[in-house]
Amino acid sequence: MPGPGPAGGGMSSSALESMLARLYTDEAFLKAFLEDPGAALHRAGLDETDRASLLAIDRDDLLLAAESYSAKRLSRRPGGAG
Amino acid sequence: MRQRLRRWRRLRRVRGLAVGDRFGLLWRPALAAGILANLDRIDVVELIAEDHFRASRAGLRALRTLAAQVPLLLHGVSLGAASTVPVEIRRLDNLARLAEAIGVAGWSEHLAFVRGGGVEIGHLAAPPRSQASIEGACRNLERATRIVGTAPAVENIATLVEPPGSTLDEPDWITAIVRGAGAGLLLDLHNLYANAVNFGADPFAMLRRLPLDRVASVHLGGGRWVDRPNGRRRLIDDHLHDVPPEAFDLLGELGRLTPRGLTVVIERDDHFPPFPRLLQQLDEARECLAQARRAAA
Repeated sequence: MPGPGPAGGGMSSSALESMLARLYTDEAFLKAFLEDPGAALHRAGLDETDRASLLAIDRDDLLLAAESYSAKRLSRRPGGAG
Repeated sequence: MRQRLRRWRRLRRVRGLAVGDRFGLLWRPALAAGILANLDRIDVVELIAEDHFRASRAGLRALRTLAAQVPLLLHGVSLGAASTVPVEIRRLDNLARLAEAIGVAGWSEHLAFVRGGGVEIGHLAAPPRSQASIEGACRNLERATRIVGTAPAVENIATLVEPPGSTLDEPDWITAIVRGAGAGLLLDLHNLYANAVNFGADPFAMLRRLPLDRVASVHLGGGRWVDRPNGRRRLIDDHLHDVPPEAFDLLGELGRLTPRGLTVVIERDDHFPPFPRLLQQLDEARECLAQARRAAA
């Protein structure tokens, strides 16, 4: 069953949402994160809980999601839904 | 009129369907001719709201004409309702104007965030499943209800990433929002199936943990499996393929678990098959639900 991550804090969703949006859309930042997550997040201004939860993310799943979203944006299918 | 209604209800009982069970398709320009020619087999049509925000007068008139023939449902994809960030008023105003101009039978949105830090993702993304996003979603849904005039049904999304920062699992998180906002649940069974198989859960167990008393509508879609370099497989919900048997199985289980009428919509975004194939899938959904109703009776 999909469940909470090991470092789930959850009180600063807004910062996490922003960081996820950047990872999904900024190819260079995603590449840097996949190569060295700690260094990529170093200057992101996240609190320790958010940082830990992002460091625990499954990197292969993140890459697949980013690729999938990118393909969707490029296809420009209006209103494609999830 | 009353006689027709009685006959229609009798026909539904004979087939085994609940009175409120309806079956329809997502409107796409490529499907327009097929939909219009087969309205005797299509009970409801769903429109992506954002596709029509800039509709011309003639376009709106055409949609009103369609609404006079078949109930129309609006489906939003860009509110970002499941977020700690407030939904923008202008987006809700657009929805309210369109809903009023067409005369729709209802509307829905996703439990997703779609932007963050000024960046548009261009797709539906799963937010951290936390108390903060539950409260944000409830606030957003209250605002949406107030501005649009009716409450949206909220839809579960497919995600390829376990959202970081989560303190709840998906069924608990969805239940908290649906109960907290007093919203209906638009249950996408392919999204549920994809999330379950991608993250090692039992889709039927997951289904049973959802607030089924709040489910009024269902989406059925399709997807494709991809092999990952690390040896894992992932199911991507892409709306480009037929509804798989597993989603129909979940529909049957849902029909056994809830007696209330369901509006079932098949979503197809592109790579359209010949229209009779879509009608056949609608018939499969009808038969699947009818069998479940008969078994539960």
